[in-house]
Amino acid sequence: MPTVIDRRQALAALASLSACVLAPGAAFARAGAGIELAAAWEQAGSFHVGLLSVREGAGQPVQVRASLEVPTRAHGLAVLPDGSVLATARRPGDWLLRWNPGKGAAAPQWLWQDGERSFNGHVLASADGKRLYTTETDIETGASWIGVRDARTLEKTAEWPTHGIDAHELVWDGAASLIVANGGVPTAPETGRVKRNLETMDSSIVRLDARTGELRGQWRLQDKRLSLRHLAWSPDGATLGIALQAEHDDAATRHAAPVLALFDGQALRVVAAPEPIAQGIQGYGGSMAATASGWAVSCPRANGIARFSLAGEWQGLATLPEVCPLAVRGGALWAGGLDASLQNAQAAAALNHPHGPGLQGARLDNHWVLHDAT
Amino acid sequence: MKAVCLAAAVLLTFASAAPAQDWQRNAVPYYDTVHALQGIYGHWALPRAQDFDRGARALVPAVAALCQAPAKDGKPALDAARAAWQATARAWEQLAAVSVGPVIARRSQRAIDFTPTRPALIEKAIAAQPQGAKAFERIGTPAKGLPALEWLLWTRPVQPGSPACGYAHEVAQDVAREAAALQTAFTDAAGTDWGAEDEQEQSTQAIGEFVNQWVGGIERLRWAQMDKPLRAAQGTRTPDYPRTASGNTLAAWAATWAGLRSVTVLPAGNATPVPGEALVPLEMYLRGKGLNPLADKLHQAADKVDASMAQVQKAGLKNGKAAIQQTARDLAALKFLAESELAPALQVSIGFSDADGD
Repeated sequence: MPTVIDRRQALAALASLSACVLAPGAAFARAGAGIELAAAWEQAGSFHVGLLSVREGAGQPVQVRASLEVPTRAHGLAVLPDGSVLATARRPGDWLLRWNPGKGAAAPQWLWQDGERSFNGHVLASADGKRLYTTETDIETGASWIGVRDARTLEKTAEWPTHGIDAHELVWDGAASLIVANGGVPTAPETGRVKRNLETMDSSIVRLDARTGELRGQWRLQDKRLSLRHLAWSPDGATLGIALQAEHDDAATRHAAPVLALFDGQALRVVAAPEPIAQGIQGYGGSMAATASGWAVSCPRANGIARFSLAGEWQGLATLPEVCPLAVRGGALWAGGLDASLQNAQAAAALNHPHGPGLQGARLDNHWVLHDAT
Repeated sequence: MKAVCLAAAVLLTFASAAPAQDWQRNAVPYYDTVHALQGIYGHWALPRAQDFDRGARALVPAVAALCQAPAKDGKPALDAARAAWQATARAWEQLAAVSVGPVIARRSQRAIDFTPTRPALIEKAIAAQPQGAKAFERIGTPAKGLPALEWLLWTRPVQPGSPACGYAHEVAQDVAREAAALQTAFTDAAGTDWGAEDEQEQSTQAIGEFVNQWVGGIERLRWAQMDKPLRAAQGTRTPDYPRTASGNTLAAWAATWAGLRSVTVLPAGNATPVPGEALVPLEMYLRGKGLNPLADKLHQAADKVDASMAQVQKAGLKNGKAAIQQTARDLAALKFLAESELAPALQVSIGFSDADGD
């Protein structure tokens, strides 16, 4: 009989694996004078995956330590225990990459989709780094799947339905379950970008058995036009924060829509920002993180980070132009913006790090993750 | 420095030798959104939809003739069916190069150009022998459309009188039904009074859709059709380019680029479009707004694609890897210009770059 541990025990065990970053905010980098982040960005029409490094302290620039040009946009990333970086393509979701930055002799390893499935932009690793879980879409039917993959070969060993469409981010729920966000937005993948029949939107989060893929629960919000997309656990592992993206037809409704939902293991609830602030957030949460200070939802269209207490009370909008990627290191939030990044972004006196020459004109994609190689 | 001066002199010589374009001699009129949409729907998409409809209607009897041919006439009948397929595919590729309006609403690409086609599903469908539109709705998209018919005419050429030929005939009819529906839908769309007060919101959406789909079409040609198959082959196998089975890859790329190019720049020697009476290529739309430097950049970017695409056609697939890669780079540069300068100038939000839905 498999040993079952609860979520808190699992998070504690994961935190002890100091070298293993499993998902945004899920582990800690080695203590030191700098931080290293695996990120994806677009620059002058070219797409890159790379390692960004920055020394702590205000004014220290964010530098590109290593980078790899990729053929199309990369979205979600993960880091394996050996330091290799995984990146997945998104719109179009044609490839999965495993890259060993700094190890020049090791050629990047690519897995190409054959046209029947497309990656949805997120990948999650098992604690031992041997298995990968990717969110994918069946091009013909639009149904979403979890691809279970061998981390060494990247080949698929199993696949499970997510019981929805437009599956996006996925996280561990203890060691035995996965939580998957079904974004629920119907699209026409042959066009690359067109949403269709939004009145049929069906977003949910599902809990799947991590060994069999069996459905253990499914939850939906009342407002069907809110897409559940990005996920992060509270530091105690008791509550899941979900960043939302509104798809209402009416612009005013869309712009005033909440960007955060909380899931306590039993029920989902939305957390609204107070008026008139809510109007300015524009109903778009691009990434999700949590620290002891509270929840953070990056809102690039509002040029700020929406901050909430862990109980869901509004704490304010931390300004950073075009902010999107978020990561937590040692309890402090690191947020990436257009020309600069913020250290301790939830604090009243956040430290500003201008982007160095290698990042001039670059637009960071939605996510970055800690990379423990400094 | 001497070399630079010489190059400049050569360029000047060419510039002075080339006849001035109509827009260089005469003032370019101001084009508004209504003129742009009248041009796109009435003078670009509709004639292409009509071509596609004509081609698809001719394809049906050509496949029927193959199925009914005596054994001795099998080869010429197969050749005729193949020629009809090629004409239909070229017309479709031109129309689908920029997928606007009905092509998106009907999900026509998915319906009749789904790739990869799945031979196992085709075999299953042959065994099922669906007859007519209703029965065909139950056939999965990977077993029908132009790629499935390509498989039936080239990869596993159907024999006259065989169940497979009967199925090929049904596939051709299904393509023809879609072509007819598109032709009807584009006829309706071409009659839209884009300037009517109650159409203003729709007009704004339609021009946004057009610019987005133009960018999407450039990217589809660059990535899905050229660069991705090349990279995915990883140098170990033949790239899985579109229309490989029929040997029509180069023709398909040329048709798609022709479709894209026609909405991008005004062909040399063409008269300046009269507002509401002709297609207004994006280059001319910009010139009408006084954005000549951006229009020049767009023209130059399109010229580069022309040149690299010509190299691909000359080199062929087997020896054309470098030319294909160069074309992909030139298409990427055109897309970047479109996203970074043209779309903002037209106040159009590009779906890919605002991270919408991710």
